[in-house]
Amino acid sequence: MKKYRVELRKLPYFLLVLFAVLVFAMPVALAVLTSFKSKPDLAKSLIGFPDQIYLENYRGAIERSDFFHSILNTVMVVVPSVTLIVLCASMSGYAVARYYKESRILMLLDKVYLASLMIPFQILMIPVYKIYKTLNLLNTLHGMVFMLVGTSIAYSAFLYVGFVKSIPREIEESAYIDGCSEFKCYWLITFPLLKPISATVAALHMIWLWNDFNISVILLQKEAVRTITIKQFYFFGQYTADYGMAFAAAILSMIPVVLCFVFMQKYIVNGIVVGAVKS
Amino acid sequence: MKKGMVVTGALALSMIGAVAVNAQEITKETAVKTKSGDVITLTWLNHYGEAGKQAWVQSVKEQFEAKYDNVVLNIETVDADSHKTILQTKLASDDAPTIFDLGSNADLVVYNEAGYLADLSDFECLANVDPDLLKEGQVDGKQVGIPVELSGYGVFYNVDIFEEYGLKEPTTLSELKTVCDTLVANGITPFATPFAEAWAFSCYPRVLYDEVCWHGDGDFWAKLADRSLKFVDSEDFREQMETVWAFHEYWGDDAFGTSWDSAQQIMANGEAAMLVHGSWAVDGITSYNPDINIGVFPMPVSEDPSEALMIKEPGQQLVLYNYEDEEIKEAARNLYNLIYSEDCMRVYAEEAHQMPSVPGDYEMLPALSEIMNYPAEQSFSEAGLVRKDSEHEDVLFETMMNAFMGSSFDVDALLEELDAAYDNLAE
Repeated sequence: MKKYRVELRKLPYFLLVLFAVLVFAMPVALAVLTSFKSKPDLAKSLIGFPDQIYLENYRGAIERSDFFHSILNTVMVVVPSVTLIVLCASMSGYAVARYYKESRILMLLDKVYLASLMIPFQILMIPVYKIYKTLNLLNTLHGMVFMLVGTSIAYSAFLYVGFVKSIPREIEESAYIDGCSEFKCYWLITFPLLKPISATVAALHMIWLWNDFNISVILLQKEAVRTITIKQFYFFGQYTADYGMAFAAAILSMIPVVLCFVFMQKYIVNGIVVGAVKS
Repeated sequence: MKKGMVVTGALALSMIGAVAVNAQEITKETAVKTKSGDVITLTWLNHYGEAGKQAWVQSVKEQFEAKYDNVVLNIETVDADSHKTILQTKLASDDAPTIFDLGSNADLVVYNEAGYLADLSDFECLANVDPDLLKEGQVDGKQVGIPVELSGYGVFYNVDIFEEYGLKEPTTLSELKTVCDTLVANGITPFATPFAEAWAFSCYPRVLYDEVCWHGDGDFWAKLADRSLKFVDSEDFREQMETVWAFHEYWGDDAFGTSWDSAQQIMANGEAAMLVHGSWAVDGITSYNPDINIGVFPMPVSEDPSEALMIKEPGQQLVLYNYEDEEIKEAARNLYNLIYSEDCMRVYAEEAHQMPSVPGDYEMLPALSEIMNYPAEQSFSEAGLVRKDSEHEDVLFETMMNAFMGSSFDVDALLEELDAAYDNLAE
């Protein structure tokens, strides 16, 4: 009887959570539903179930967006970018966190990282385009990797700085006593301890870079190198849109990033919280 | 640690892969350019996202490269929203596309003043294009742009619904009111009204004031912009605003909550019978219901049938970057000749469902064919007239939207507000 009363007390929370889940799940459910509807079905009702499952949207989406090639391009850009971001940002964050008191340059670098977070890409667009054109990096996947890494390092390093400060120096000092060099100390001792924040940085950037549109649309203008997000607009004309195909393509391209989020969500939350709170 | 090294190795390999794939792409392109030593590469930047238009662009590329083996045509298609940003970035970075599309004559003036546009006046293809539409591409006596298409504005209606209730195309406002009343009596919403989007809302009042005010005075918008004419002093404009409001009871339950896509769907499934809009609506509605039978008539503006005019507006124009290299210009001339040929425009008319600027014997959607062949004396061609610039247009649309959104309408307040807003812009 007592147990029943406790559960009843929790009922408002349960209903609130259920409502929140519905609110957040509804757009995704609608997207999935729309992707299986023909245009006449869509005209009948936006939220109703289709008369029959219309797989033509998926076939059309795969064909018109050259799906597998675009996904390959996306992987070729995102995987190396995330790797470089984790490596470079962790080294940079480590250096700033450990030596900023001894070096004015590192102290300044910390501030530069923070300041650079305030600059939107639109301001950099024309200079970056000119530099890339001069260096023949336009419409190249490795050029895109450099750009994504460059624009992501600041935030990632910012996260690493907070996390590294939370690791006791004594562990490293023991290593130095045992004859470890500075780099070995970072690589063998500290870097493994950065696993939670590395997972956070990797997961966040995997999601962000996978969905990047602003940089890709400027730097990747040839069909052969376009990533999947750029291909999405093929379903939107100036006055008309093919929502069925657009949602089918979006759902297909969402799968890898959703899987990434599902497997790494605990690291995403933990990493940010630990890095932000401890000092 | 071993595991970490393996992962790092795998990631490094994928990086090398990315570079290798790129190298392959670059090598392919370099091979094309050096094949004969003097291969010319043209770039066409466009925002043709629709499947039919993409098919047309692709067919141009294939025909062009098959005809001229020393020229490569690179197609760069971007979304309509990013088109201007990308174009301006490329122009500012000395990486101009060879040909690109611009909208109205006002755009041409701006880009021509900046020295970006080549003179196309001696291009042979001009002879194929509707001479009236060509006016839109002229700046300072030079032909710097050539319209690809024509857009029509009027009332698009469901022919089957009209036949079912014995309705005829109205030519006067009182006939239009009778049509609306009959439709309401039979449970059909007279107008699909996509007023949730400012651009889509603007099509509705636009047909009225363009047919009367702009048709009556080609400098109407220019005079309002330089403030030599005030909204409060224009009886014609006042009358048209009152006409817009006179039909508000036929706009359906949620006019300002209806998006452009919803309006197309409402038309496609027969919930609404008429839509005051641009000619692209025909393709949009038909895509939701391929069996629908759509007709078109000019929006009545008074009790005089001769005052109802079909509005014809030149659409996107192709412009050529102002190269000094004669070889590139010659190759571009050949490309223009191909694009503005009847054969090439057939794909544009029949697959992309557009009204091409090159007259010809095309199998088009009936409503589009009707607009294209509408008698000149019953049409109002807006080609070559001075338009509103985007600033004045935005202010006009937003102010009108706010005025018509409520449950009552004060025409004097609207006109005064418009004058105040235009005064601000003039200052």
